Amino acid sequence: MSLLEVSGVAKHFGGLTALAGVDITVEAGEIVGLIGPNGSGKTTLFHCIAGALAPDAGEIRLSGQSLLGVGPHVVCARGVGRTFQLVRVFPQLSALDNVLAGQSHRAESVAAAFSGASRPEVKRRAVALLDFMGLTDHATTPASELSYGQQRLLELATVLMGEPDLLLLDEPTAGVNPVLVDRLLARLREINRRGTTIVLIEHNMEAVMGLSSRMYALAMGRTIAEGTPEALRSNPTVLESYFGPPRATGRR
Amino acid sequence: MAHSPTGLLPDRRRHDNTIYYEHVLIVCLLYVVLGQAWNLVGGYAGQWSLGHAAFFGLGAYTSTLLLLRANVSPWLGMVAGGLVAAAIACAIAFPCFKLRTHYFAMATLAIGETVRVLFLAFDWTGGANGLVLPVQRIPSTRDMLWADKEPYLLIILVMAIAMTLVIVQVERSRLGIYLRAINQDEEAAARLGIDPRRYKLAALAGSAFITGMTGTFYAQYTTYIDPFSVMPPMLSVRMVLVPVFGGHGTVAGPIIGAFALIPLSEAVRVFWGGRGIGIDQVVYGAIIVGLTLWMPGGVVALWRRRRRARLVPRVA
Repeated sequence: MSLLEVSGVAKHFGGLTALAGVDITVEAGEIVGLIGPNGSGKTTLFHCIAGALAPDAGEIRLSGQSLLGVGPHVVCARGVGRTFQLVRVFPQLSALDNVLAGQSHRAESVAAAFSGASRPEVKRRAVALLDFMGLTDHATTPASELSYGQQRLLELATVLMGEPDLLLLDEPTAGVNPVLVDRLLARLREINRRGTTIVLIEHNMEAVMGLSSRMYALAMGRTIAEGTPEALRSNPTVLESYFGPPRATGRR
Repeated sequence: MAHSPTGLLPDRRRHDNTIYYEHVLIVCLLYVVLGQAWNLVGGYAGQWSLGHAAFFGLGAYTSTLLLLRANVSPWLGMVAGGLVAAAIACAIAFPCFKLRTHYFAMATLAIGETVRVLFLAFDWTGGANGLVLPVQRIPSTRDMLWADKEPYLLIILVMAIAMTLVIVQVERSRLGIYLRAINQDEEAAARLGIDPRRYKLAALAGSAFITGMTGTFYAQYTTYIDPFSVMPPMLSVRMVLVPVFGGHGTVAGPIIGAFALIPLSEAVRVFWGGRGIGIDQVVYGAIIVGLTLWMPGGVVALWRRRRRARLVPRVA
């Protein structure tokens, strides 16, 4: 059984078709890249998987269990963590509190949350995650005062705090300086090595091709190609979706 | 406590002053409780309710009707009042939590007014005539009725301390982090597994429960209630103003707000209230507008900015 199975997922906004029947399958332990020109439906697909949007048609299964009809917090509890295209941290919370907000909420009652602070082992894990992201010195800094790249790393740490089986990353390197991009990519490989499956949307082709073992290309809300990074790099349908049809002169 | 400004006035005058000061202190503490209760849902969870007067009135009416119709002690009635307010809050939450920010505030404002108008129209609430508590039983501890202010002062002091301790615990617990997270970005909180509806509902119900209990206290203290006195829109506004002025989402905010705004409102009333043209309200409003412009985020935020400015040396 695959970890994630998306079959025939469609989503319309009024007259606009964002997804017109997308099929993707992700096996446990993979890093899968999702590419496609702007407006091809990548982020909408993530919203559908993560429970932020309800698809109009199709099925989404995590380890065989349907993810349809449940809210984002339930999808998270089932083991899906996600980051947003534009980084979303809690600006007025310290970096440490941001990470603590991401601790597992499975079977946690309001009364239990009110009864005390985070358990010591949870706090240790949060500190370790900040350390893993190179943010130890900023534990007490409000997230709003971190650089954009640091906020990206922080957002990733908050999501990892819930120990997801599947990580959905929406353009993780966008707006991040090259030095931090290298750190981020190294961390993603490490996270994957420790057993977390990753699906990422990325426009940085070098990054996504270097990282992914397999890729899907989306265009106009459909899956148009699937294969290794090398195969997709030279796939004419993929190139056409980005650059338009080849000209009669043969020049590109 | 009984000092007159000159120290030379007769005893009788001194006694009157004490009663007045005790009254102001009771109102201040009342607003500490109400401010902290609003703080829980508005300051921490970020749900700006402008209809909290409805919960206050529901508490006041529940205990008073139980006392008048079924002779239930207000000590029990207080809990019942809180529960009724919390139950109505849960019912309101169901449709209103679909709304965000201004829309939530507008919806709660409308609901608060609707409840007030309904209570004016109902026969069993006494309509506009209101309800008079059994003052002939004064003094009666069982009926929470006394001629002196001290017992009331003690009750509201205990409530203010208890409610402040609840907020201290919210601040220290995981709940504080979750509520703040929901306040700052609900979608981002949900994707981390925090169920926003559950936490917002708990905050609103808890807030309404305390506000309802305070309504019972107020009914017992004034011994007369009607929809104008226990559910006016201005009461909802003050419940927001107190924590916002001091600094909402902080423990100290509602305390600072209550002890600054209530004496201020009393002072302008003493100085300008006798003209009969509402100039005291104009002055009160103008002072609040001025202070709010001077310190956005409230007194606590101003203090934090000052302290930060001192700690972080300026780089030329």
